[in-house]
Amino acid sequence: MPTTESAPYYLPSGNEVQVFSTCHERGLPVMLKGPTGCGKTRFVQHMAYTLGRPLITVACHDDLSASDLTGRYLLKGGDTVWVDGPLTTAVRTGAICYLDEVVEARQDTIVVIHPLTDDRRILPIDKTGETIHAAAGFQLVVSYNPGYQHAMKDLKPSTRQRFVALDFDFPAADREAEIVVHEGGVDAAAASALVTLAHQIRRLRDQGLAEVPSTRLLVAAARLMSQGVPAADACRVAITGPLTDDADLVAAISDLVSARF
Amino acid sequence: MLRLASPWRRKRALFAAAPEPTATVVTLDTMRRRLELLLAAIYGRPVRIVPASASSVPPWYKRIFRPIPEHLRRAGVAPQAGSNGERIELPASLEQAGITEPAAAVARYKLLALQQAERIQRGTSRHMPGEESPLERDLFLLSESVAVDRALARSVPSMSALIARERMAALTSRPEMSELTPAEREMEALIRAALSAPPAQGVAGLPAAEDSAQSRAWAAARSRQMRGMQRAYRGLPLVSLWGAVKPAAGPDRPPELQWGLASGDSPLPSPELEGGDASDDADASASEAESDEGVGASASGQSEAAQADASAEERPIPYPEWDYVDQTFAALPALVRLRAPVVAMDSWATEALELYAPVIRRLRERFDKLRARRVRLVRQRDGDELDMSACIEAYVDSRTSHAVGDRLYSSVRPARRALAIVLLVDISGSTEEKIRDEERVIDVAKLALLIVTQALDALGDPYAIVTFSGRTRENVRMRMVKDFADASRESVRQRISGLAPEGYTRAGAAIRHATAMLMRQPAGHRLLLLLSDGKPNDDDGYTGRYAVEDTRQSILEAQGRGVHPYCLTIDRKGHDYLTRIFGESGHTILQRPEQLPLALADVIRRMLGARS
Repeated sequence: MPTTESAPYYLPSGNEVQVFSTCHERGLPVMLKGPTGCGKTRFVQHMAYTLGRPLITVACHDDLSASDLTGRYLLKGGDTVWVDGPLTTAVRTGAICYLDEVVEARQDTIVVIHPLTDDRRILPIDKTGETIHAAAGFQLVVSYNPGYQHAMKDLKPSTRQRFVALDFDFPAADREAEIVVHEGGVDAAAASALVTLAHQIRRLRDQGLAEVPSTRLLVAAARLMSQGVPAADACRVAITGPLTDDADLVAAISDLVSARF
Repeated sequence: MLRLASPWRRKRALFAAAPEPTATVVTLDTMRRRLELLLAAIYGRPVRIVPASASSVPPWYKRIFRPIPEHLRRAGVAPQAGSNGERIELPASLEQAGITEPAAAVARYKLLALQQAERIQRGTSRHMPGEESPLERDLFLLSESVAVDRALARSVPSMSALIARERMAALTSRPEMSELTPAEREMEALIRAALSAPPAQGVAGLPAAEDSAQSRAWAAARSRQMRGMQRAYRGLPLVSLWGAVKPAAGPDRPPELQWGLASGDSPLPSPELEGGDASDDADASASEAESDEGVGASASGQSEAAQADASAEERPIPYPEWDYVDQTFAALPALVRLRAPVVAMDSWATEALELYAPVIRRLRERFDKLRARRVRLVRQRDGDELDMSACIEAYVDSRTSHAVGDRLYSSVRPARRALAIVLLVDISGSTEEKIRDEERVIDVAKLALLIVTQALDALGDPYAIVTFSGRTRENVRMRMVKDFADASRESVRQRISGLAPEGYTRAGAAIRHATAMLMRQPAGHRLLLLLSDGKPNDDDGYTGRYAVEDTRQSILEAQGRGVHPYCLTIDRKGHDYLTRIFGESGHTILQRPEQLPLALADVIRRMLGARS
């Protein structure tokens, strides 16, 4: 993980920074819950930098197997050599291991993290017969998006119980505008217009809109606008287009955009 | 510093023009959802839009008892935009208003919808003066219209120009001052002042009313000032763009409901709706309790389930019902009431299982092949473990100077995705009909269900069996014969044995409930199988096209949520409506009822084959 020059930008909404630091100190695993694009990943990057720990991120998916996390034997010439997976590396080096969108992984895969999440803090590896004790500074962080997809995408209760849960949501309007100004490079008026637009579109959740516009989408639109793309075009390609293909929704969102820009 | 704007201009062609509806004729039908979404986003709550009927004469017509002179006639009886403080009425088409160009029609519809929504927000209908004082009423309406336009011109600046154009047009068709009485002249001067002012600004002589209550107070005071002249006020035509204001909806409107099965475990209570039919419902459950005793629901294991169901019985679950006439969901929901299944402690199931043992064995073998297994995939580029035989081969290849492959791993994967099935069984009164000799439709359904449970147990995927029947929208009765988690085969058999015909077929709500059940299952495929013997119908107007269209809508909703619906029916005359509801390939008409289990096996196999 290359270290950046300055801490990744993150504007706290509450006491999440203190809670996370305390969890890190006490070796407690943390679960970040919240909608897509509300700043979960940025928060982890920010905390890893602040705490001075390397960050190892694993994007979870359907096909992720336990060996993708712990490691596997590879062939090298005529011999087999053991190669650590990202989780094993983090355990050995005392890094923060971040499992992004953890519900996407199969439940039987996620079970390998269980011994790491209680006070044992060990990672037994069957294939090598090794039991690794987590180095100081190791911390497990998972993120997921409740209400995303179907009920089938949920963590096992026995897995959930092992985490301290931090709830994330889109920042309050003024903070969100501040973030859009900082990240998107637009002026305060444009940022607050974008945020108002987002608030209006977010009311269309459950009306055919599977996901509502995230802070990330607003930043994308703002970045286009700051480069001279006309606001209406920027909103269409960076907000409306990514959100939906439904013709009525597209038209309604365009109406909202044209009312504001 | 490089100027970035110019390369951008060249790239502009990449960004297609703002999408406008492709329909060449813009009607309310093509615009309705778009407008409803727009209003929901701006006002933060759903607002229903319905077509305005041409015959609905605005109520203030009634107040003019004497004949109205030609020059004071209000603009025709063409459908006008309006609202009763709850929902918005818009003209079904704008042709009568002389607007045919699509872009202009879109803009006009947006303006009309926003104006009416703004009125709902302000509470115009609630504060409107009664019909006894036409002057106060017109003053109030004028003040409200001006305030609404001002609010819109400020919040949606792009509307401002359109409003100004419309006002100019309206100015040209005002009645002659010379033909008016003094009171009318004063009112007319106010209207003309309003029409000549820019929409975003205040109008001299009119209040800057923040809400409808202020307009009301101003109108009352102003009409008192004009009291001396009031007798001679015959009512002036207002501007048609401003639309009609209807009296506020009465308190008997249906309460706001949380549709469907809540994501939590218990369905939401809706006490307001329960009150209405409580008495007759109590009768129904009382008589039911008697009949339950009749068949001997005394198994000790049953009492617990019965209690759980009893608590569920108290809370009906509302589902929306599609009204094809209005092309929208009906104002009143259909209420699904869960009832405990009837249990029969007879030997029917045991005897049937013995009698059909060969069929069941064959079916089980068929389903066993479809079982979700884990398979080991060998010779993969990537995997959990090294594939030893591949490694040895590679080693030999490298020693004998052959090209060495890179597929040296093996991994274990489920062979197909998990499947969740709901069998939705129609047990309406029509299943009492005899098919031949002494055998009724329900008997065949029972037998088929019994055999199918045997086969599904072999499949190993979770499944549920739920029956439906009902009488009226407020009493769609569903009985859980087997929930996904029910493991006791014996009690499931007893409940299948206890199935008896009752009520009518209100299919839409039942399908929506079954869909909600499926959505709560963790599975890759969701199959909703409807076993039916005829058209959906009920005795409160849920018949014919209405019933078919509501059922079709419920199937479309299920498909939209990724559920695979399929209908197995014995209604040989059903081709037309079944195709309308389920599509050409979404149903099978069984020539002989005993084909049911085999047909079911085929559906499941086809689905797994096609989709895994």
